[in-house]
Amino acid sequence: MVYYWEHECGWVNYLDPYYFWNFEGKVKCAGCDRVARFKFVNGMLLEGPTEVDEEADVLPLYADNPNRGYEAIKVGTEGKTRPFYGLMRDPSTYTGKARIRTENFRGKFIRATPNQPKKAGVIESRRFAWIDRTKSKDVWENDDYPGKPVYGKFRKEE
Amino acid sequence: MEKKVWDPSPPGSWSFDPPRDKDPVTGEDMEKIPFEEYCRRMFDPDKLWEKPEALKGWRHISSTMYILSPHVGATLGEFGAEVIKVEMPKLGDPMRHTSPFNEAYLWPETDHRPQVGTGMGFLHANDNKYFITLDYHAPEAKELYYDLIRISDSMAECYRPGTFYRWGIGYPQLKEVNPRLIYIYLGGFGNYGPRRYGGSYDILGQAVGGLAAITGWHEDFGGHPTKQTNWLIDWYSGLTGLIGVLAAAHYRRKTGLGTFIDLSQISCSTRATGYAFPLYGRFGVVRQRWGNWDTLLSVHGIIMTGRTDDPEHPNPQISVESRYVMVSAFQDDDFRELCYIIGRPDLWEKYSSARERVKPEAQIEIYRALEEWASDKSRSEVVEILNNAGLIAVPVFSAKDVYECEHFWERGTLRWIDDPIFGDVLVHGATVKMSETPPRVKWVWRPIGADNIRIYHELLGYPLPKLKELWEKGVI
Amino acid sequence: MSDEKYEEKYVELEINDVKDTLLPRPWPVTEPRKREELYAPWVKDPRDPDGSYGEFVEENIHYKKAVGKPWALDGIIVLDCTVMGMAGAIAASYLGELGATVIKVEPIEGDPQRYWYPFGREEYAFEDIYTGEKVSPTFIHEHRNEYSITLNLETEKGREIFKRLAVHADIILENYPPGTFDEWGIGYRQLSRINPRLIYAWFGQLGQWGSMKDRTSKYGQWMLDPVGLSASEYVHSTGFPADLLPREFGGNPTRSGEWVGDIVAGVWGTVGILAALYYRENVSGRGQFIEATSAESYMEILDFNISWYAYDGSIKARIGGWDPNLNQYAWNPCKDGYMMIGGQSDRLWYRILQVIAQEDPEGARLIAEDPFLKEMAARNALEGLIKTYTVTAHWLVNNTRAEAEAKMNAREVAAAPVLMIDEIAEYEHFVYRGHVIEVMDEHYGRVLVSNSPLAHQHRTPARIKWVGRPLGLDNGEIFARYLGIGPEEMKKLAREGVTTWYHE
Repeated sequence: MVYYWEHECGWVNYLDPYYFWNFEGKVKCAGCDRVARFKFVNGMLLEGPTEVDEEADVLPLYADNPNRGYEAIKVGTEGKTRPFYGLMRDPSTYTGKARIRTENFRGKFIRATPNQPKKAGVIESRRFAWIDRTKSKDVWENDDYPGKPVYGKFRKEE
Repeated sequence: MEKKVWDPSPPGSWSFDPPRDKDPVTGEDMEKIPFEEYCRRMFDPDKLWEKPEALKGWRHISSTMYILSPHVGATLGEFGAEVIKVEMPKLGDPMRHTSPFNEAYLWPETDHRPQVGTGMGFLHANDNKYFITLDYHAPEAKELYYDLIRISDSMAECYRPGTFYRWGIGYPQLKEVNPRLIYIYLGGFGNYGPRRYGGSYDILGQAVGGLAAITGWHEDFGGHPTKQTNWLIDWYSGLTGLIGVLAAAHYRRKTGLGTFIDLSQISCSTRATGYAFPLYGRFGVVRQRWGNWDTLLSVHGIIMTGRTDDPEHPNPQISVESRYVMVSAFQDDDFRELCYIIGRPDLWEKYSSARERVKPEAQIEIYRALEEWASDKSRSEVVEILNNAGLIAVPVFSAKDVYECEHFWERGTLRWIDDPIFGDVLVHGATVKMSETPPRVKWVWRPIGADNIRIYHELLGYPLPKLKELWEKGVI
Repeated sequence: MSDEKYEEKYVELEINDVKDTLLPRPWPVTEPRKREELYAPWVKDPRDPDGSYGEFVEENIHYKKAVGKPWALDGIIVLDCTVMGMAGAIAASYLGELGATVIKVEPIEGDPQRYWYPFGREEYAFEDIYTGEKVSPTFIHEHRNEYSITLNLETEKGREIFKRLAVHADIILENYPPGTFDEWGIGYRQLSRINPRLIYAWFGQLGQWGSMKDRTSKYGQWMLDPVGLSASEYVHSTGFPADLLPREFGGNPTRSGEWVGDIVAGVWGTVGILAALYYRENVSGRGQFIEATSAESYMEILDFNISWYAYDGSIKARIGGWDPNLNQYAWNPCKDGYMMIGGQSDRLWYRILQVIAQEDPEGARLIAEDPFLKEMAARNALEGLIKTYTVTAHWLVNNTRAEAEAKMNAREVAAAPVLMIDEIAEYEHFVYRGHVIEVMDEHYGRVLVSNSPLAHQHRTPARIKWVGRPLGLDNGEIFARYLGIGPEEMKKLAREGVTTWYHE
C-alpha cells in the first residue's frame, strides 16, 4: 500500500498524490499516532513505510476506517490530519448538516427550502433512477416487471 | 409648430441618432466633455434597459448540456435572442446538480421535486433561456423538434457525433427542414477523425489541447501542470463557436443559407498556446510551463508578499492567501525604477537590456530579489509603494476584493438581479460593453420544463389536450 | 507535402547550448490513418451503422474540403490598430480567418510583439526569406490573415491618413491607453461623425472608465495581461493550494501560461462586434462603441465564484488539478506524466471503478464500499476528492498515459493524457482534423500553427491564408487602394516619418 496507507491499526491514511509525489519524510498515522518514514520519487515508493520513533513531518489529509463502517477523520482534525486552507469557511455545510437558508450574503431573500430529509442520504444530494436498479438485467428488461418506467406512467417517488 | 408623424431623433433615443452632438437627456455637448465622462455616458449601466437589443427576433434552440454548448445560447440570449433550452424530461441538464463542494443550491429545480435544488454550477450558462423538455427518443419528438427548427435561426447541440442524425434530427435532415438553419455542434473531438466518439470535458480540452502543458510551475521547481480555474475551455470555446454562428448569420443575409459548424473545444485550447507550435515546428523546442512569470516580458509576473492585509480574518483565503501582487515593469525605465525601489541597483546594471531580463536565469534572480524585498511588507504596502512610484502593480484579487471593488459596480459588471423565481442573485452582467445594444441578464435560470406551455402552446400552437397527452407519455 | 525533404528523422544530439536544440522537425512524424481505413466497411460502428453520417461529414465538413468555399465575412474591412496586447490580435485573426479584410496598422517601428522572443532568445526568430527581417513566433502565430501597414499616428499627417482610411472601415480595433485615440482626434466620437456605420472596439485590462481604469506607468508602460486576470480573481483561484503542494514548489496562485485574459477579451470583443454588425446590417445601419476588458471577460468565465460569494460569503480556493464541482474530474500524476479522468455520473463513476478494480481491488473497495461516496453530489465534498484521487493516483502510478487512456476509453470514460506541445502536434486525431497545421507562407516558409477552431464548417469555414506578415509589407497595396496614394507620394510620406516605404 502506498498512497492509501492502511496501518495495522485498521485506519487508512490517504496520502494525496500531489503532495507526496516527490516526498521524503515521516508521516503520522491519523488513527494510532504512530509515525512511519516514506520516500517517494515520481510517485514510486522507494522506501517505507518504516516505523520510526520520531516526530512526524507531516500529517495525512484524510483517513478512514473500513472496518468501522468507514468512520472518517476529517480534514483539519487537530493533531490527526492537517488543515486545508482550501476548505470553505464552514465544514458542516458539506458534511451533512442541513442548512436552511433563505437569505443571501446581503441579507435579502433568495429562494431556498430545507434540504432533503435525512433518509434520502447525504444532505443536498440527489438520487438517480439507475442507482436504485438493484435487480438483474433480465428482471429489469422483463416487460412484466412493475418497476420498469414506461411512457405514460410516472413511478411514484417514495 | 407642426407635429411630426415620426420623429427620427426622439429625445432620449440612444439608438438612432449618432453621432451624438448632444447628450440626449441633458443636451450637453458631447464633443466637449472629457473622454472618460463620454465613455461613462455611452456605457452607462443605468441606461441598460432603455437601449435596444442587438439580436432581437433571433430564435435559437439549445439542445445542450454542461457549459460549453449552453453558453452559445446564453450569450445569444444576453444579446436579445429568444433561446429555448431543450432538456430531458424530469432529468434535466446534468449541470444542474453541480455545485462547488456540494454547497450552493437554489430551489426548486422542478415542480415535481421541490426538495431538490439546482447547483450554482448551472449559473450563467443558461441565463435568459426558456426551458422546455423533450425526450428525443420518443417517436413523437421528431415532429415537435422539426416544428421548433422551422421557426429558428440557429441551434446548438453537444451529443456524440451522429446521435442526432440517428434520431432523425441531424444536420443533413434539418437543413432540408430549414435551409437557413445555422447548426453548431460543440464537443471535444469533433465530428470526424479517429477519436470522434471520445467524450470530452473542459478539463480534457485543457489537458490534451496544450493549455495544461504550459500552465503551472516548471518541473524543476517541483511544479505540476495546473488546471485553469472554472472551465476556461468550455466558456471560451462556446464563445468561439458563437463567433462562427454570428459570422454565418452575416453570410446568410446574402445567400439565405445556413451552415454546419463542427467545433472542437480541444482545438480552442490548442489555439490558445501562443508561440508554442511555430516554435516547435521550426526549432523543435517544446514550450514548457513557466509558473507565475512571463516568457516574453520581464518583470511581468506575480510575486508573494510577506503578509496579507487582514491576518486576523477567519477565512484563510483572506488571512493567508490574499498576499500576492502582480508587478509589471518590463520597459527599461520602469525596470530601473523598480530596481532602485527594491534597493538592488545591481540588477539594473546587470540586466539593463530587455532581452537579457527575460532570460530564465535572470528572471529567477530578479523575482527572488523582488520577493525578498516584499517579504516584510503586506500586499497593500507593496502595491502602494510601487503605485506611488508610478509603476504598475495590481493586487491579486479574491472574490471578496472583487465584490468590494467599486470599479466593477460602477461599470455594471457586477449587478444584483431580482430573479423572478430565485430572488436576489448577483451576476456578471454586461461582460462586453456596447454603447447601443448592451447585453443583459434577465433571469439566471428556470426550473426544468418551466416554459413548456409558453413554447409548445403559445409559440407553436399545440392545443393543451395534446400537450397533456405528450406529458402523460413522458415525451415532454 | 514532400517527404524526401525531411528524411532525417530522430537525430540523437547532445544539448550543450540553446543552439543545439534548434533543429527543424519533420511534421508529422507519423501520418494519421487514412479516411478509407477509418470508415472501412469492416469497421462496423453501431453509432453510425450505415456510415452515411460519417460520409456526409467527411465530404462536407472536413477542413481539407474548405478550399474554394465562400467566406463568411467577405467584404468587411477591419482596421486593427492594436499593439502589444493579444486581445486585439485574437479578434483580428478570428475576423480575418472568417474572410474579413484585416489591415494591421502599426507604428513605424512595428508592433513590439514582433520583437518579443521567448526568453529573449533571438535564435527563436523567424526570418523573412527575402529580406532576413526577424520576427517573433508570437507575432507570426497571432496575426494571421492580416495585412500590415505602417502609419505613424503620432503625427498630424498620419492621423489625417488614418481618418481617410477609417471612412472605408467597418470595424476598428484599438487598445491604446484610455483616451489616447480620442486625444488624437481619431477616437470613436470623431470617427463616428465621418463614418456612422463604424463599429469601434477598444480592448484593455480593466476598462477605459471607472475608478480603476487602465493606466500607464509614469514612463508610459501599458497595462498588459495578467493584470486583468489578477483583478478578476482568476489568479487567486488557479493553482495548487499550499496544502497540496508546498509554496516553495509552486503551491501558489498561478497565472495562465498564455495570456488567456486577453484571449477571452478578444473573443468576447469579437462576439460583441459581430452582434453589432448584425444589428447594423439588419436594424440600425449605424455602428457603435464596444469595450472588452480582460478582467470582465474573465469574470464571466469565473461564473459562479462571485455569485457564490454573494450567496453565502464563500471564496473559491485553488485546488490544483482537481475541481471542487465534479468528481471524478481531474488530472493526477501517472507513470509518465499526468492523466485526466472524468466521470461524474454514477454510470461513469462505477465504470472508472471497474477499471481500477482490475488492478487494484483493494483501492477500488475503499471507494466502492464507502457510503459517503455513493451519492453523486456528495462525492464533491473535499473528503471525497482526496480519497478518490488518492486511490486513482495509486492506480495511475503503475500505468502510463497510453495504458490508462486505452483502459478507460475501452469503457467509454472520457479520459485523456495531459499532452506536451510536441505530443499534440503528433496526436493522430489532431493531425487528421488539422487542429495543428502547416502553413506554407510566402515569407517564412513552412510554419506550424494551431488552426482556427472554426475551420470545420459546411459553408463558410475559417481558413489561414498566411501567418503574420513582415512590417509594412502591404503599404503599397493598401494606400493605393483606399487612399489613392502612389509610390511617389509614399516616398514623400516616408521621408516625413508618417509611414515607411520599401527602399527608403
